[in-house]
Formats: sequence, structure tokens, C-alpha cells
Amino acid sequence: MAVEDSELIDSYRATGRRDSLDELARRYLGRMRNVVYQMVLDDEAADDLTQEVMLRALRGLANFNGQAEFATWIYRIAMNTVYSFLARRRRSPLRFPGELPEPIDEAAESPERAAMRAELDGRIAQALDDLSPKLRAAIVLTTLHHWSPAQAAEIEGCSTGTMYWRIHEAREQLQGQLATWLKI
Amino acid sequence: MAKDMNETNGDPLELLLRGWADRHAADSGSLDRIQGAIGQAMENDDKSQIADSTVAAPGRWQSRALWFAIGAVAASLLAMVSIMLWSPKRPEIGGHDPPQRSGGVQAAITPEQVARDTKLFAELDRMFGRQLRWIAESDGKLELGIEPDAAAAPPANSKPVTIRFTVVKRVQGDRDWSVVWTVNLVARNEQLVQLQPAQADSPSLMVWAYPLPDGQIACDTEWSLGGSDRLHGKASELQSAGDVRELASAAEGGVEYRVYQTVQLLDHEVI
Repeated sequence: MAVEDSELIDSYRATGRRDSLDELARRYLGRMRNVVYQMVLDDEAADDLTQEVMLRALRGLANFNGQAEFATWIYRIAMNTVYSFLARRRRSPLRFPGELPEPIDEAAESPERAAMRAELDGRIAQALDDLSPKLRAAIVLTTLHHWSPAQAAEIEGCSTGTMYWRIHEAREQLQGQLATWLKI
Repeated sequence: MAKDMNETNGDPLELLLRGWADRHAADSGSLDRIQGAIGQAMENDDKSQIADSTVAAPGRWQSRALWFAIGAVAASLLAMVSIMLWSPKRPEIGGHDPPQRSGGVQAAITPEQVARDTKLFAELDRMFGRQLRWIAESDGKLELGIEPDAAAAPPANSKPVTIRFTVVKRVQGDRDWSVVWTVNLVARNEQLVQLQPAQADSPSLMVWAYPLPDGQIACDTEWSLGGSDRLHGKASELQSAGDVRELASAAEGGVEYRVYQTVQLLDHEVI
């Protein structure tokens, strides 16, 4: 049976052993990298910010009061770190030209299909970037990270009603931006 | 989590977004690099040694050019007002503090300073029509960051923080530390403060602080001392209120340096 996050934290507090921290880091690193990337839409920045989020969480464990789940807490740190970064970056918005990525499977994907997928990815990234950070967070947390609206509201520090509104608004904007692709 | 990982309900938008997310998920090489950097940073924490003040918290600071560019934009938005402040209530700072055996002594924020900063910020904020964004006091000089757009609303959820940034030094082998430079800052939540050097060899400081919901304060700092004390560095820290944090230490030419930072929340109800 997998050890609960709270047990790892208790173990670290009791013994100061690094292996508990390493296990926590292993559990959350991928999720944090993904949520950060989905918010900032920039690989290099996502790597830097993920490291920052993980260090803030691990260094701050001594002050983690356990009132919230660790998962909620670390997501909150991630979102706050992301918001801060976006606030500083907001005067130089990203553009997504839809550059051709490395094909996932060259044998299975034709050049036309790869080009179409690259364009789609560029459009999706652009549509996400055009959302306000709060709306983007609402759709990222609930659709891509599977938090319920109530849990996402707890992470974001808003009411559940507000979160429902943000999800609705984000979906409307995305559907408008991606209408062409949604019909294919 | 509440939803099943693979649940899409056939919703075309969700399918589209999840496909995109899968194609852009972190690869194992990238995760290994990040994990390695985290492990290294934690190991350094364990040793409580920062051998080189320029390598602390390497993550975000790799985007140095971006940071400076944003800082320049932010600075251009603020009308800088510098006035000389002389008050017998304020301790004289900037190299005149008596030496102390513990370098961190000078970095602490006292309750009296919190009360004084709260009152000062509130009064100046009223004077400038709620457009005050930050205050910085160093070497007896007070600098104010004022939002030039009178129509701009004060930032939401803006709990001001007070930050004391202190650099101390001693000749290697000496027992006592003396203050090289101290800056007392009060800034609104998420406000970038950039103190530009008055002259080429003057010190400079950039600070950005953000209180987290759990009461801790995230603080990014970058500093550079001019003149004979050629010390520069940067740090990205998560601090508890009142915690005196050693950001860096260095030794050069037989002189040891320590850099400390203390952050404290102000009484935002007053402000």
C-alpha cells in the first residue's frame, strides 16, 4: 500500500531524513512541471519555475500546517509562483507560430498530419495564452489536472461559485477560439 | 482527486486540450535535470553553506535578461520621488552601526519597526492618493515608488510587506561584524522594487515579495554592492514572517561577507 503524503511529511519531521523528501519530490515533480508549463506555455520558464515551486514546497514543509492536503498546498504554491511570473512577463506576451515539433512516430504520421498537429498545438497554446491567468488556471486545474471545481476553488482561494463561473467563461472563450478545430 | 484521470465524457474541447497536454508533457530527461537541481539545492541547504553568493536558487534567475527587461518596464511606470529624510527616531544606517558578534543581529525587524513602517506607509499612501507602491530607505535617503496613473486602482489583496536587507562584513579572524549596507523596504504585494545605483559604484537592489496563503512570504532578491565591496548575488526564498535568513556568504581579499534578509507582514488593516 502506498505511503500517504502526510506519513512522508511526518516521517521527515520526526527524523529529518531526506528520503521522505525525495519521495515527495518524485511524486509531484511531473505534475508540477505539467501544470506550470500549461500555465506559462514556455518550456525553459517551466523548468525554472518547477524547480522553484518544488524548493519552496520542500523548504517550507516545516511550516506546512496540515490544514490542507499537501497536494492542494503544493498546487497553491505552484499557482502563486506562476501568477508572479506572469505578472512580470505580461508586457512581453508569447506568440505561438505553430512550429513543427519532432514527430512522435515518424512511421505512423504523415508530413501533412504532423503539420496539421503542429498548427493545432500552436492554436491551442495561443488560445490558452489569450485567456486571463485566472481563467486559464480554472481550465487547467479542472480539465487537465482533474481537480473538482470545489478543490480548484480551494487552490485558487476563491468561492466554488466563482470557480464554476471561471470554468464556464474559459470554456466559452476556448470554444470560440478553437471552433474550427472542434468541428474536425 | 475527484474526477477519474481518463474521464472526458466525450467532450470535444476536453479531448482537444488533453491531447495537447499529453503531447507537451514533461519528458523524463527534463524531469531528471530538474530533480537533480532540486537535490543539489537541498543538499546545499543541509550543509548550510552557500559557497558562492551568485549560485543560490539558480532556477528563475537563468532568465536574467528577462528579469532586467521587466524591471526596466516596471521602473518606467513608477514616478520616482526621492526625498531626504531626517528624523531622530530613525537609526542612522549605512556603515555606522556598531559592530556585532552575530552578523544577523542587525538584520532583525523589531515590532517597533513594523509599527513605524505601517504608520509611515499609511500616511504617505494617503498623501499620494492611494498611489504609493513602495518605500525604500537607505543611507538616510527615502525613495518612494508612486503609480503615475491616478485612475489605477490599488492592487487587490495587497498586504504590504516590510523587508530588511542587510550586508555585513568582517576581516577574516575578527570576531565582530559591521554593517556595509542596509535597506529598509515596504512594498505592496507583488510589487517589483528596483533601487538603481545613484552612481556607477553605488549599490543596487531589486526585490519582489509575495505573501502566500499559508502566511509564508516568497521573496526574490538581487543585489550588487559597488565600490570596494564587490559583492553581487541573487536569491529566491520562501520565508516565514520575522525569520532572519542568510541569503549568501562570501569571502574576498581576506574579508568575509554575509547577506541577510528579513521579511515581515505589515498590519494591512491599517493600510
